[in-house]
Amino acid sequence: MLESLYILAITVESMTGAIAAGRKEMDPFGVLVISCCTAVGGGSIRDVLLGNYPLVWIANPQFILVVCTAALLTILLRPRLSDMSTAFLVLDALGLVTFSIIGAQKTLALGHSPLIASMMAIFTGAFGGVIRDILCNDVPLIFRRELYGSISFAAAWLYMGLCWLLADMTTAILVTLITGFLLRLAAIAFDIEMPVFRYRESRYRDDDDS
Amino acid sequence: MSMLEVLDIIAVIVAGMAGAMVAGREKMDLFGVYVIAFCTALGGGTLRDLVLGSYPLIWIENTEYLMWVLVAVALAMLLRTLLPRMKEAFLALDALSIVTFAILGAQKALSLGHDHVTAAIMAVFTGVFGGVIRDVLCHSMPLIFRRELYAGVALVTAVIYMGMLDFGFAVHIATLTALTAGFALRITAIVFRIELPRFSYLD
Repeated sequence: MLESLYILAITVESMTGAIAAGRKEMDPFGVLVISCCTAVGGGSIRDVLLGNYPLVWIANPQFILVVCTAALLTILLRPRLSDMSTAFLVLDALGLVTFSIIGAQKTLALGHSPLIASMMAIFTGAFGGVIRDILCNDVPLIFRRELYGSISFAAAWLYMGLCWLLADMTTAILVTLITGFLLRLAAIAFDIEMPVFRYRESRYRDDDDS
Repeated sequence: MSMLEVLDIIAVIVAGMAGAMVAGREKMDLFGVYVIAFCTALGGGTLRDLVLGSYPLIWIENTEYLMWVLVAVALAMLLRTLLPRMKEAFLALDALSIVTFAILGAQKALSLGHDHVTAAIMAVFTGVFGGVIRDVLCHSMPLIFRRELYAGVALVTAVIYMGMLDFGFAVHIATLTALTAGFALRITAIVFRIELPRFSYLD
């Protein structure tokens, strides 16, 4: 089940990458690069940090093909995309939670502590989007928007707690998926956000002309 | 020293100079200029080795590379007034550096036993991601995603190189052909301003 959810997740993340690239009017090649970085970038950072080689997409290049197909599909579907934005947010939420569970699971399997596993859940879930936003020269959304990284973190702890309580992975995965998913949808629907840290000091303002 | 090793050093110096020039445009200090030049020249290869898990990284194993970056920074500063007039020559050298990096990237991935898809991706990483890191650090949108077939050239070079190896050509013949073809493609793209149609999504 996690396998098929993973494929769904990379497909959706790839499409968000393609849309971000389209907003910056990139050429198709740029779209592919941004899509790949968005879809598999988070997991790659996790594996590089953990020293867990070969990376998922190098061991299984077919995932890259899935991602590229999704990106090209996005370009073809351009006129219809704005009608599908709700479906998109829903799928994106599902992708976020799936990535988080996979990240936590892999880290635990390598023998790391739950704390590290919860951090790796954030890397896996949210950092593909961070790379996307950096490459597109935007301030990464997750640092500002409705509970994106926090949900990843919470989902990881919930999943690990359930695994410890239930000793049944499938139930733990299902419960975590549903809870994380609802949390994210609630955050979007009611605009729930963490308090924002603002720091302004005119004295140290850049004296550049920019 | 083989031809590819010489080209590698030239490529590092040229990429380092390109980095230093962008840093200069942003009015960075000397340290900043070196860091940007370093990331531009060696960042793509570093990223490739990180992704492949191939340690030690080339510039840690072979610290000469750090010196070549220093040479690049010095050259960029000395030639500061001349560089704007040497734009064509510099673009040609820049094309040579992408193509060289692409071949080296594909070669490395193949030598570590990876398949063709991975090697092609690594060619692109090595060839153009130094420039991507440079642009991100200088806070501009990476050029390669919008400009004349920049990344496409790296990909085509790798495909030609691997294709010729598969057909049984000797390594040096495959290298030379791929170098020439990639170089010619990039120059053609610059001269005739060939670009891929852009995907624009404005909401």
